[in-house]
Amino acid sequence: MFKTLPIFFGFFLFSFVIARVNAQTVNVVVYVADIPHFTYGPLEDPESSVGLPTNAGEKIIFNAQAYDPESPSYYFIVCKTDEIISNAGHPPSCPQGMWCMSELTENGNNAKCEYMARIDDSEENDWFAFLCSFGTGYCSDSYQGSGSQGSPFYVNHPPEFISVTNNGSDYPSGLIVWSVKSFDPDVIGGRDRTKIFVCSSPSFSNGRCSDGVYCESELSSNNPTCSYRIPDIEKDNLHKAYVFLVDEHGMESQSSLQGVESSFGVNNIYPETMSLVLNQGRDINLFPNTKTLVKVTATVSDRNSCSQDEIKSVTASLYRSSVGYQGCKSIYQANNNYCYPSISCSLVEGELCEHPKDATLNYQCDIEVWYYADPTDKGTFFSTDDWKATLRVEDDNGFVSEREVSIGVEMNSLISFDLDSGIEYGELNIGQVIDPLSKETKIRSFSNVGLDAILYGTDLVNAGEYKISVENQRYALSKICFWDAFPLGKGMKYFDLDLKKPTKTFREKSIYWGIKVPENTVAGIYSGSNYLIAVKGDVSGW
Amino acid sequence: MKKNALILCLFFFILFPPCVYASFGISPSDFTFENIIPGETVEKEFLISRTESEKEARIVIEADVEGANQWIKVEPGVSFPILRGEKTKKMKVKVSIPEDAPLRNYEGFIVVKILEGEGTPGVSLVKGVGIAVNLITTKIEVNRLLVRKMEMPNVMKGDPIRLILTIENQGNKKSKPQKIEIKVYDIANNLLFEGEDLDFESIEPSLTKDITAEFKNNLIEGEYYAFVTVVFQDKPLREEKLVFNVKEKEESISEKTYDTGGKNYLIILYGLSFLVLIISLLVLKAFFISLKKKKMNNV
Repeated sequence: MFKTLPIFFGFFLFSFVIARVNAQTVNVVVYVADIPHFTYGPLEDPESSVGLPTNAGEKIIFNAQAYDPESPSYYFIVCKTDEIISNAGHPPSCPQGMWCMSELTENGNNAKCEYMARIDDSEENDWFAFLCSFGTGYCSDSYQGSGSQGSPFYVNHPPEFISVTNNGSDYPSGLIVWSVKSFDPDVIGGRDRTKIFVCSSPSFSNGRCSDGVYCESELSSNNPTCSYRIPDIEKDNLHKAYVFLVDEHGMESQSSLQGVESSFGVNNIYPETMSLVLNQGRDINLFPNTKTLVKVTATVSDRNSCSQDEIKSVTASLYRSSVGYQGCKSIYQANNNYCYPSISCSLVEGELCEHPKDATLNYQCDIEVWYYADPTDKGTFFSTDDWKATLRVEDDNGFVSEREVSIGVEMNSLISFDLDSGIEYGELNIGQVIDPLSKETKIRSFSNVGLDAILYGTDLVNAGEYKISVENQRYALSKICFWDAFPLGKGMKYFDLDLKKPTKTFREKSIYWGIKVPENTVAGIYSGSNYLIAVKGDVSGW
Repeated sequence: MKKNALILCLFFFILFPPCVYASFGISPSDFTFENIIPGETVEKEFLISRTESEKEARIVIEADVEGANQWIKVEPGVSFPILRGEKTKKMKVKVSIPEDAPLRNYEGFIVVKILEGEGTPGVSLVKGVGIAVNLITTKIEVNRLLVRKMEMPNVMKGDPIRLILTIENQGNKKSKPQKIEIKVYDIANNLLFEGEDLDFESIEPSLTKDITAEFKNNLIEGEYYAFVTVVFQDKPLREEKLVFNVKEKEESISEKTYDTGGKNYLIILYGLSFLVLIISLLVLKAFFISLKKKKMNNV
């Protein structure tokens, strides 16, 4: 109501001083004194209004300029009510409380006073400004300025931080949500809205996280919430987080919970195996009398990181399918015929984990398979099986994933053997018969199947002219009577050798030979070839 | 003590030298096709192996399959060398069944012999291995494919996504997958797009071939998953989750190398030209000097 335009030409105050009252004579002396008047202001600089209140703890600055025709200096005083007590030669005072008073200011100069807004101030605070002449002690009428820089000023109070919760933890790509219960005491123009910041460190200044920020909520008239999406590839860790509450004017809460730690966890996720391939998807051919390298390749993915401190071990087991992974999981189940368990795998050459860019790395497992590993192709004991591999990946938290190849491969039959280079019949008389069979040749199998044989030969010839017919040679598996043995022929003849499948080392069997030198044979050196063709035997003989 | 042990070992090895066996083998050991339509060709690869490779040897192949010997062809031939130092040799057997071949079983052996040097005097023993042959001709069509491997290589941004499938035709008709479907997900398992490819070449019976399916790629750099379904005869033949990366295209290194090479080439060329010029001048100078001397002598 007192906010009117300042009048720069001043007001006159009539002071009636009755100097003396005489019964006969009354002398009235009238002094007409000038009072100080505002030439600028009063005003809040900067404004303190509903929209731009002054935060508690911050200063409200009042500015004014005065002209006092009676005195070289003046006081600028801002009172809580429209009352002033003047005091010539001394500072004036506000009987109902003062916001602030300037220092004694030279006439014509700018006067300024400051008030530090307090939490216990009301939200809305009227003010009345006076100018008081130092010399005369006369004070101006109260004046409240005008507009947004005029009375009243507004004090913004800190929001109250009541509680904070978050959903604790989630997996990579998951959402962590913080919810804060808050209350803001300022209601003029509508209750002030609040917002939260979730920072990665307990440092917060100028209404911002000093270091990293996980999230910042929208302004909310209720309880502010904000959420943070965990990156797609993130290590499983506890992440420290600190929550700060501010109101819509940027005033931080002064509650004890301000900056409270509200950390969250990134859950450990199971590693995953993809693109698991055994021997490039091709059937396995073994090499005789030694081990053959069989490769298992796979891509291992872990969204907690592909680094070696996350992926603790990658191992592969290779086994015949009816044995299964359960039958070939530990090294104690190892058997070179059907189970190669827990073989360590290594990174494919050139593979590097670029965390957090990559979640996957390619591994390869080199498995050395013995030549006598069980075959699974046609005509074998395990022809309904195939060979499979399972990759076992364990992370640093002991989370294990085990995956078997989608498609197994056949272990092909290997027929392989060694044989003495010839039969030493020695010098024989015409008509002589080696009876019983006594010339031994050894056949050693380096196969993964049981062996039978096909035998045939050529006539023995002497200088291309004379010959001993091939049928004069006979053979058997023991030193039996010559006449009970099998005669050799020029045509292929199947022979049940029944040489068993090697299971630890090679298997050996002897074939005994004999010959009858016909009566009409011309003396000389006879030579020829006997062929021993090893073939896969019937499984009953393995 | 140690010394004694060493002497004992040496003594043992002198008395019982370790046996070195010269084994000869083949894998696999059968040539079985149970559903061949006359007119078709089937083939299979074999690995011949030997443990001793000190000497060159010769492989000789004979077929003994009643009624089918003429249909059997061997690559690289029915007789070929296995060179010194070679421990393995690949061999392919192809059988082309004539259109008018009777429908029945054809059984027998393909004999693979190894002839190692000259025979010993007396009776030499020649080693060989027998591939069991079992061919059954039929008129019943069999369509069977086996996806042996799936691979999705990393791609450059903008280049098509490639899926390489290793497929074996286990049937008796030329065949191929009906279609290949993919669903591409980002690493957070959000579906990004789906695609399918219907256009790839057929595979002959008994053959294993790599076929490539291609899909559009609008992906940004990163890691992705693809769920692949191979559809054959209206049914999923194989499903697999694969991972692949999309990478930023890099500046062509070969171009840079070429530029540098070009500059080097020019420097060498200029150098040589300069050298030729100097030599030419010297020769000219020598020529004029000798000419001058000649004139002086004449004078």
